[in-house]
Amino acid sequence: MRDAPNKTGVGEPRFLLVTGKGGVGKSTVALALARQASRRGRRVLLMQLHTQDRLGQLFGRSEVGTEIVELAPCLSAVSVTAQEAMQEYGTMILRSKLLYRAVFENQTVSRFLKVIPGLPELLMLGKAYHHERELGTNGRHRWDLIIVDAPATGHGLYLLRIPIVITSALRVGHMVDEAKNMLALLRNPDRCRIELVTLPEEMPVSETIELATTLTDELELPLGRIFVNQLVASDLTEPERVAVVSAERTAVGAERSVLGAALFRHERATAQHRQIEELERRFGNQLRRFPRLPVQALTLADVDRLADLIDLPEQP
Amino acid sequence: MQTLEQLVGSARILVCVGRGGVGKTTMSALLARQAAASGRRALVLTIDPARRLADALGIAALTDEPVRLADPTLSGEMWAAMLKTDEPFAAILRRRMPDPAERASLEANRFYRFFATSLAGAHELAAAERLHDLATCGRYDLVVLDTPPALHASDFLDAPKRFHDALDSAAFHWLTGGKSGGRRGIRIGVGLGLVQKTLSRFTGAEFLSELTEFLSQMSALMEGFKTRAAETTALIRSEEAHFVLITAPASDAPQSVSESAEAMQSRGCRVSALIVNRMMPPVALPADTRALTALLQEAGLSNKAAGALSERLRDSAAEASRFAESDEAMLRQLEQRWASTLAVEAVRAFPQEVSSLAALDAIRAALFPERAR
Repeated sequence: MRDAPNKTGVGEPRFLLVTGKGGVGKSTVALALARQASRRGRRVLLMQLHTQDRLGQLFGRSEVGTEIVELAPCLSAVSVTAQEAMQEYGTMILRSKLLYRAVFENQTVSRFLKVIPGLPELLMLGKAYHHERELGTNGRHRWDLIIVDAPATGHGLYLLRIPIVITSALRVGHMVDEAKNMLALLRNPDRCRIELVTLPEEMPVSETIELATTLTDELELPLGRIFVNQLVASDLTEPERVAVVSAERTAVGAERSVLGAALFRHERATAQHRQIEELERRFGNQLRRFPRLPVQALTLADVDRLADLIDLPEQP
Repeated sequence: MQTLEQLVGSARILVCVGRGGVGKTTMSALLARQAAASGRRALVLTIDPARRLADALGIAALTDEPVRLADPTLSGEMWAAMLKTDEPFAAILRRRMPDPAERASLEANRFYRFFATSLAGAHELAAAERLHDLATCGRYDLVVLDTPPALHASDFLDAPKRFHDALDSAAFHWLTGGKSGGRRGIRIGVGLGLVQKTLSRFTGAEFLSELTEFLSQMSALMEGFKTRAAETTALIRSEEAHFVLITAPASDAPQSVSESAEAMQSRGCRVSALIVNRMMPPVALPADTRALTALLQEAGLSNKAAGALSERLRDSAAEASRFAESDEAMLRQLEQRWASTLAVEAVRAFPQEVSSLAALDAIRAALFPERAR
């Protein structure tokens, strides 16, 4: 396993793919990673694949669509849809929008295309790949960092499997060429990392451990960091907990309520701690902890608080 | 409009939908258990239940086939089955192709494995088919379905049709030289040769011809599928089937609930209940910490330690209270929008995941105060 990227940005992979079970805060972590890098002057492109857009709202603008938009200095974003990726790629290969339309947008053909397993996903990944290679006018890479906010576990694995399946099943054609290029990027730990996001709860944790094993052992992809979200810290030492339990028995009214809340929090923190231990055993210092923020609707400032934590050394 | 209790007492199918992490599996188990407690024969059809919940229900070795949970406290019957999600397609195939030799030949096709595990909608389709079988077999009064996690709840509803469209697509009949394309009067507007040539630039000619062959084989196999898909759709749309939306009180709950409800209603389904789960319990805050400090001192802490701790506890309670208030505000917003058309119920959060029958029954008692006892 490789260590976390260093602070300078030199030698860090330029392609990060963020995935995890649905509802664990994957998009928030993807954005925190993007903010962390862009605030240090790296030109970041955040790509949303098959995910619902919240960026527009956070940045106080309209939804991020299929055109790249600059959200903040050094931070741009785009949503990728299969249909649009297919059109872009198809037109590029065929060198004719007219031919593309005649063939691909024909109702009958497009129905058929939906059945070709993996074609839309390959093209979406292909678009991300294209941006990783893309050069600016000065001949340097246009983007210092591409962050892909990938679909949740099931679909995310499916997405990552596509190039592997295609290269093993096919021999010729553009799909194979694209898949080979993709795989060269995805499997190279100097260029790419798969970052996982999870919650300190039983199901997400066991799923994450399973996912990591599939990624590294079966798909041979480079695993990056594991972000565990919404951590609650207990603020009670053991003697304090004993005192709170005993005080709660006699307390009434607001005092009882406050003591009950403290025990609730402690119990939750303890349950979470068991899951963290499980994650630590498996992932060691690849683990990154994000606290639960005392807010319901995340603002950009909240995301930045998380971004600040990315580089902090792990607490023992 | 029916209450959740009435629904559990009379519906034949309850479909629980919601995003990952909202407690869908727990709620599905709970609704089935409540039906069983009220004397019905209830089955919960779930997907990979959390290990500890499974243990709690005594369903550690849960399989595709329903297992009855031994529980003398229930006047009815509670059954549970798990949808195998790793090979949804294999289950569909077994049904359509009973001859193992024939099946083996198809499974040997190099496209099969990829296709079988990855065709969009296969999971949802398998769930829908299984639901149909179990709900119509006559052994259960109620089947509660814990739907597979999907980005859009409607994936589940559209799967049979989409799957059918894909496999029965006139396009590949036409591409493979079948007659049905002509029968359906497809006017493709460009020549077959051009289409094949263009597509094979992407896929390679070999892939395209093998894939079309494979798909037409599948298509022949799926002849009976149309009827089944229609029956499943009709069942899900019938008056005996109700959708239960489950959400957490997150900031995007109003939007996601509206989207789900509209998606399902527009597909002719009955959305009947909304459960707002994981509500942080309210916390009352004392005006000052004197009484708290005194209590902690009585409990054995030193003067100084009790004072410091009570300050910390008050701050942390204030934070908990903000969470609770914001959850409460979210619930009110959801009630305002939905309480006139749906049975809206709130379920409080628990410090730990629900992992015992006692915990499950505690929620059940809160949701169904009369009958749970």
